[in-house]
Amino acid sequence: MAESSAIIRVNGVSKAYRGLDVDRKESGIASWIKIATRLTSNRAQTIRALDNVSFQIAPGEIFGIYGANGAGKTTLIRILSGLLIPDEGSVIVDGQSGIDAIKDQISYISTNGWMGLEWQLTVRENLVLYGHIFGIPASDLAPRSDLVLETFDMAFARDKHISELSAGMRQKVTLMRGFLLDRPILYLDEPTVSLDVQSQAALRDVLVDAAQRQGKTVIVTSHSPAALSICGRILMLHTGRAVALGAADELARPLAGIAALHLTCAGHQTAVSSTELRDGLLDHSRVRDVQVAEANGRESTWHVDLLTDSAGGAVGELIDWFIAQEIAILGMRRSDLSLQEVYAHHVSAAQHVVAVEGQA
Amino acid sequence: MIQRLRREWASLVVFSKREFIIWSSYRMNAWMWFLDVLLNTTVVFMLSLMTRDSPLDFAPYGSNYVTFVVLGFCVHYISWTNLGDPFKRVARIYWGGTMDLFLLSPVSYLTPFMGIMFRSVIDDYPRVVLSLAFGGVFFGAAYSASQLPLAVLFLALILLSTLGIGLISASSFYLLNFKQNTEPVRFLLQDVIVALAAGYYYPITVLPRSLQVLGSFIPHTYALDALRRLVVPGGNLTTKVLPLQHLLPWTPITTDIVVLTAMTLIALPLGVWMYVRGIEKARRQGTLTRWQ
Repeated sequence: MAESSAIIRVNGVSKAYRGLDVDRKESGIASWIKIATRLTSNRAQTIRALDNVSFQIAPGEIFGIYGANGAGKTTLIRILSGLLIPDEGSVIVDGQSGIDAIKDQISYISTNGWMGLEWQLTVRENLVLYGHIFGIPASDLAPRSDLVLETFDMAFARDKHISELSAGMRQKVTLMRGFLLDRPILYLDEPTVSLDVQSQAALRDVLVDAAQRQGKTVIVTSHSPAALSICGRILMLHTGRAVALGAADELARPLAGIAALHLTCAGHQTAVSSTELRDGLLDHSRVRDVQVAEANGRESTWHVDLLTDSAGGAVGELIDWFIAQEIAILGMRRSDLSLQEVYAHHVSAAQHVVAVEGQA
Repeated sequence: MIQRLRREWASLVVFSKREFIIWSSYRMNAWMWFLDVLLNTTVVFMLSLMTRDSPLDFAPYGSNYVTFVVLGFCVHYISWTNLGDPFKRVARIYWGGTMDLFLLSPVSYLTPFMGIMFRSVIDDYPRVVLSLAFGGVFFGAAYSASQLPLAVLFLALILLSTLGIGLISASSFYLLNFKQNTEPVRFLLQDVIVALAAGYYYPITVLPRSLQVLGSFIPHTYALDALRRLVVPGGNLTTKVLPLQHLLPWTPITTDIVVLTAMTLIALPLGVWMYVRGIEKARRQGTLTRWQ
């Protein structure tokens, strides 16, 4: 992407947190002395949340940020919004930097801790309150509130108190609050955590519509592959480092010769343990990776997810291996590689590069 | 500028409405609140019966003990909100996870904080009026209105100076990372110095000299001194009693005005500056909200 056309430019952003853990059981003078001592000591742990991350986002793009817990997704999106100041590097949003310039361009939707919903107020009162605080004229507020209530299928709950809603409904209120603002850039931090499958799909439709029909730029962070299925490009983060960036098919390209196999086996009829099964499969020349999960019902079964060579004969060789081990295969299916499997590959490749650089 | 001020004011009004909805949703609160003020005033009346025929001297603060203490209550209620509440309100913003939203909104750093404080304003400021009313209607308190504008000035000064100290207390949440229920500024001032040396129930002259000197460092001492001289019938405007009044060449009321104004001019800008610095520090450290 041409740098000049980018609406968001992130250049070499790094962030470290200095650990200042607070023990909630302590209070009063003892805790004040302890905190003061920690503030002046050098013993506090430093956690590197982001390490030299750079990328650009084009206007109207749906951009995903994927990573495991603690990968740095929320830190990154908070830096993009101006809420968090990076230690190094810069963030330019629509040609400007700094929270005062950025905040009028963005709508930041975080579902962490329900982001301050007012439990004693109704859904509509929550929307009106934040609409007023964000400067939406009173004449626009009622129609906009009605629109977002309809969009998220929550009109029936408009006069319910937040305390009366389910977790998923509360999450929808935080989403509605973000969509109340008509801003060109939408940041969504883990937007699907408590949503059911239908609501997740509906949210994806809303986001696609916002990008394609309204020209909004959408940035979504998630550890859920489904939430990022609409993204044109995905940035993969691992322990604060960008391990890959590209469209889903580009990211999967290094794994072109790999197939995913999902087997269900009769665990209770075999002499080997699930750990022995996993180790045995990892030693097989056709197997790249394997996960074994036990389902302990009345008759225990194993779910075996394999990444294998997709060259001819691999499946046959694996079936022969299972027969030799006297493990009954109850079911088998092939699938495309999931985003998580692609992510695991890139993380592993990045760790290999770091290890080689370390040896050099 | 005018437009910005209007926006800040509109946001304050919205916050205030929210706090009123929340406050009034706890219906028992209103009854308990009413009873609490009535009981406090009744206790003072009982104490006044004990002191009525005793040779105790409240000079230069007149002779009506109920009025004397009711005025103490007024300053106490204002201080309880303005000095004691800001830290708790910032803690509520932090633990509720709303600081992110407030910072991304067009309003200033201080507006949400002031708006959320409105809960305590609803709760405590009317107690000032109720205390004066209960004292006057049921328990024989009498008020002199001859110096009303000056008395209002002192109420305004104690309101602003305690708010400044409250802001300093609140800023310690982010600036010094005191994330617990208490912090040293509020504890030292409200729970120690004010409790001991402000003289809500007794004239400061009955205290040992060391405590009188300690009381010189809090605005409450000067506000109470002036309000009692001005409002309690028989109050004397010329007799010096506070340590600083003896040191400075002015009349007691002038000294009170000068010292309270100086405290306000130091505490309020310092509190605002520290609060903004605290927020900026939290933005660098990533400690704006509990949820991140």
